[in-house]
Amino acid sequence: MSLLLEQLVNGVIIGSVYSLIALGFSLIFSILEVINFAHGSILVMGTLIGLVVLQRTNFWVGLLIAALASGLLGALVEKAAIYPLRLRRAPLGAQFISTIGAGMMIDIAALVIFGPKTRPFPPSLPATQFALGPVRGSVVELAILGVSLGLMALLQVLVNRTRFGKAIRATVQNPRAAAMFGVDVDTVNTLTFALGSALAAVAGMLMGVYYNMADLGTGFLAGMKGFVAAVFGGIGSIPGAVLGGLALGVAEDIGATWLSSYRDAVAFIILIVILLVRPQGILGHPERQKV
Amino acid sequence: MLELEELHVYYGNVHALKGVSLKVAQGELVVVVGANGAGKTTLLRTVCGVLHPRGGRVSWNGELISGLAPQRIVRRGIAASPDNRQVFPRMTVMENLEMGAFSRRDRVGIRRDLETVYGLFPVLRDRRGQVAGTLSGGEQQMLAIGRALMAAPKLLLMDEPSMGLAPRLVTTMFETIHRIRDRGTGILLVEQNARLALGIADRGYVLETGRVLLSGTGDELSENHLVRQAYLGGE
Ligand SMILES: Nc1ncnc2c1ncn2[C@@H]1O[C@H](COP(=O)(O)OP(=O)(O)OP(=O)(O)O)[C@@H](O)[C@H]1O
Ligand SMILES: [Mg+2]
Repeated sequence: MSLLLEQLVNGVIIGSVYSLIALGFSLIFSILEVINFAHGSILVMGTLIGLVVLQRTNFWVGLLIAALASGLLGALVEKAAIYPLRLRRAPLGAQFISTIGAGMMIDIAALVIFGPKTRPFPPSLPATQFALGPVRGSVVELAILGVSLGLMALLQVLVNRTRFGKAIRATVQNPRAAAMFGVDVDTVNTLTFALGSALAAVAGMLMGVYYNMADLGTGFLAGMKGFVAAVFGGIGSIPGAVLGGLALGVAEDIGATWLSSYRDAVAFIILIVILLVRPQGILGHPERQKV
Repeated sequence: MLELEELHVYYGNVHALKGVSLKVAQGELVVVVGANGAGKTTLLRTVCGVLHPRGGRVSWNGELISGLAPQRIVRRGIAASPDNRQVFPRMTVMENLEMGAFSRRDRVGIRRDLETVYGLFPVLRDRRGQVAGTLSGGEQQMLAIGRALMAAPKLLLMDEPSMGLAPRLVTTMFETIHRIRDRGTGILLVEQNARLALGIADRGYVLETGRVLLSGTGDELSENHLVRQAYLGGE
């Protein structure tokens, strides 16, 4: 397989995971106008819980439990760290800082429960290799891509076709009018937060099987990369989050050729450049986001 | 029947409604006229639960509803076409109308009401796949009213439906409002366009800086010399 093709494939695989994280950021941002800086911490906590379950059962049960755990944790963060501030009409800056505080508390809880050491992910998916034309891949990589893309498609259907999705879109576009026609906006806020958090945990589990390990540090980094991908694509935009994640994944893989051990710096270089050149992101509106 | 008793509503320290009392009987078309800043929008926001009064009460068919959240009030049969229309800009016309029926579960009734709305505003049928933010002001106004009708309200609140319409369309709009009333829906309409609004009203109120100045039948108010001087621009 040629180097460029290999980089492209690898980039898309890890990028699809970044897209999932970015989708969580964007969903939450589009509805609450708050960047959830507890996102990475929620991801780590869900992943570490999922890992414990995985060791006793299998990957898929672990994945499900991780998503549920993070979803619950996300709902809790929204109810405890954001909702009371919104009720008092606190400025968005205060809400944002409140999510940082929530993130720290979750990190500390994870540290106390799981300890600081890096945890290996047991080989839980078949390592079988296969070739598809010029592209070589493994079952693990296929599973990662399948889960990510499948969830993105599901999310698209959820947002555009279901009653809950319409409630989300109406709340994003005009919360007061949404309430006037029967949408319980507080519940939509909480459930959207939970949904975004569950996606983060899935991403965390996928990164776990990809790199065969999980710890607090990789979780934090994953959260940051998801954030960069969301900003890259235009925060609040669903297609933007998908595109941003894929682009970041590919850019990292290609960038690593020259920067080798500074692979993780690629994301932050991109962040700085984007904020300077096109702060609304690739698909973002200059003033308003769109769901 | 809707009944407001001695309503006091504030925005922070701004005392916007200062003891407003008003009634809308079942199926009645009641108009509230008043100048800029009189408190018309505040009045409707209080009825639909977006604002809560600091004093006084709103009751609906004998039940106290002031203090309920908007999503509960719509389920009791009160829906609004709010100020500045407030359609969902990135949803299609059809999706906006579906959102109007969000509180309902009766699919058959929803389909029937959709046909009724398309009958009242044929342009909405032609534009059903178009994104609401790209409609003209007049079309958005029709959509806002159609969306409210999709909630199958027993009482429809309307905030300045003639705002931003071409003069020719304003007359049509008031005819349509009258038809909605004739189909049995009660209407509480607030307007700056006093002449046309009082012309179709069963009863009316004149609101001035948060207080009811006058009330009477539509005809009585249209004849009243104070109203003629202040709101009908004449004599
Ligand atoms: N969000 C707000 N914050 C503070 N004061 C407000 C707010 N909205 C309205 N007011 C004040 O309350 C009073 C009543 O306003 P309201 O919008 O109800 O008037 P209105 O009769 O609807 O006027 P218009 O004809 O301009 O729509 C005005 O003095 C207005 O300045
Ligand atoms: Mg007004």
